Amino acid sequence: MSQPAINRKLFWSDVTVAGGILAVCGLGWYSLLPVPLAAKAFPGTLLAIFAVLGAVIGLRAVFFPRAAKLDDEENANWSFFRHMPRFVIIMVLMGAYISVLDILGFFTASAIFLVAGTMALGYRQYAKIAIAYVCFLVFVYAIFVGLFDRPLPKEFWMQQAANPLQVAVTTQNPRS
Amino acid sequence: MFQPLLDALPIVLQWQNLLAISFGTIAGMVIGSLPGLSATMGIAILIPLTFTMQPLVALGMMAGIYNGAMYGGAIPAILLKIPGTPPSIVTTFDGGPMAEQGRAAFALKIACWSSAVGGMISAVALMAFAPPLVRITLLFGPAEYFWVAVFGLSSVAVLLGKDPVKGIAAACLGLLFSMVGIDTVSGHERFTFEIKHLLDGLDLIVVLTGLYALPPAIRMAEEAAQKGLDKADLKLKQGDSIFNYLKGFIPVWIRSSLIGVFVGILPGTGGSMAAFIAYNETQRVDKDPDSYGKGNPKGVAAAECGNNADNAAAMIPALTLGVPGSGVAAVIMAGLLVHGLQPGPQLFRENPDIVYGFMIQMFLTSVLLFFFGGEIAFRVFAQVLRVPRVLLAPMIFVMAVVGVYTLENSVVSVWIMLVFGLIGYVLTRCGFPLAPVILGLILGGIAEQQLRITLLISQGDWTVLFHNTISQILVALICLVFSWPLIQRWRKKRRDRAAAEAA
Repeated sequence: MSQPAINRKLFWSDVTVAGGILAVCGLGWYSLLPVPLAAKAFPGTLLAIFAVLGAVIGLRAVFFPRAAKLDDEENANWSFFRHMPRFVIIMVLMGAYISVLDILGFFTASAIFLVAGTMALGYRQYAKIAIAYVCFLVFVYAIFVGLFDRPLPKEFWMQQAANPLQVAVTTQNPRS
Repeated sequence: MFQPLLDALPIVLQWQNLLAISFGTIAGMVIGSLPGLSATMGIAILIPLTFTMQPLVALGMMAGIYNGAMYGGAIPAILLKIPGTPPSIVTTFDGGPMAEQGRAAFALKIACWSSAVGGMISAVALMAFAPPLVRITLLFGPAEYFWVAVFGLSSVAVLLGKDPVKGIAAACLGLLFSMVGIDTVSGHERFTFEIKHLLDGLDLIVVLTGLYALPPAIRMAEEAAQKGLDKADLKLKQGDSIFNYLKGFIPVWIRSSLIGVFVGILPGTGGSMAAFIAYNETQRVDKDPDSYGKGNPKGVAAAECGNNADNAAAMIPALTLGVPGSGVAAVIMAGLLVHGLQPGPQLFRENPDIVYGFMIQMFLTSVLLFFFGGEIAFRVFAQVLRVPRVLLAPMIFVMAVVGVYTLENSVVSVWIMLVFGLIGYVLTRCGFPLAPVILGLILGGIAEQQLRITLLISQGDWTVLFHNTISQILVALICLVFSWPLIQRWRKKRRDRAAAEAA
């Protein structure tokens, strides 16, 4: 009877995960060193169990690669990223979006992110993009600002408009 | 038994609550009809929105999303053979062939009626079983609560995913996340790595949104499907009448509901298992088992009824013991905690209007399925399938960001959510279930606190953890849960050997 083939990517993912778990446990133990025994007993025990499970996942992948067999279609076509360039694009855009959230304001930053994200993913139907996202942002405004009055990062033009007033108040009232 | 329910009824019937359950049910159907979006994700995104609401209004919305999404999953399952939610995989077996035969509208009607019936029976089970069970939990001391936490966690970790080792590892990770912050007893920092924002611990909602909302959105972005469905794909022929089949459906609904309720009460099993067992049993007892998988209406009825009968039943252990029966129940439990409501006997004693009101809401949202499901669901909600996924993915990101930002008006929380989104993505891709992580985060604090109280009372004597009969029963159940995969493997081997011998 022939042995089923092994998906190398699946194998390496298990080995990497096992390595990651052991590294996290090492870091966790190191951070618990200055903590008294009563406070570190429970997390320390958990880290020990977590490390054992990590080792089991790694050793199982190496010696008993049952989980990495090409026994079904899902495993046969498995790869960590479904589409790595798009993953990187969306993560970079997401990082940029969060970075400028306080600077540009919520609705400006969101509008730029929505349009840039969709276009970066290859969608070019501008009319549909405009209709969908205008409706969406109006919906978000109605729910979060209109209905629940939740404070969101101020738009950059509103921040600028607020500054002179703030300066004037501070000048008149130096203690404030 | 009925008095608390009658007391809660007028509150539930207030217009705000009725509006919330109607909105939740509709939103749930839309969420469920989109493959890749789940009830868990919908509720996770919704929780930050509900902060300013009355707890019962918030819970009503969650109940609506829960029941609505579980039914909504049937829409793409029938129309496209793509399950909208994991349990609706079983609905594709006969729903897909029915749609191919031009009976999609009828299949949707069956799914609607079956979901509503299953949901209502499940809600009645919640009303009947939760109050007596909560009286038993009054006998529990700290040691028993510790074991309950371990039992809940182990059952979800071992039984929910495909790989028990990864399930337990995910639970450990969740428990470790719950340890982040200042230790309430000694005042020492644990796992904060000198980050000021982590001193108060990880916010459950931030973690929840990151783990559940971002990975599906990332997946949609990676797939970048440019086209939704064409209008022509959603055209239907005239459907059959459900009343012609009612005689055949009633036993299917009764059987499937009982199966769904039983499976729902067991922690960690979930709607998928309920749907599979209900479908298998219906096929087994039917006079024409060969017609299943080829468009038998009873197949759709069994799958949807079993799946929805699990919903409210999964809340029984969640409300009484603080041990949720499914991933969605875990998220609803998180919603309770966010509103300062701790599941357990205290909740029944101090907030009877809320807990019994929630039970009634679970029932009412099932009734609403009759009105919003079927033809209306098809004509309105199925149109969501026409929106290209590439447009939806950035919207989900923005919704997650706005929800998390408004928690503390802090961009740091949004960054933490993104980190957890990446952790969720890695875990999902590597085959780790996410529900044990959340459950670990919820139960970690309880487990540690109860263990430390037990050891404090017994002056460090560990054997006290095993003294009580309830503790011993719970330990035995935990052992059974851990050995369950081995028992299953042994049974499968025996079945295979028997089949080989027969051949």
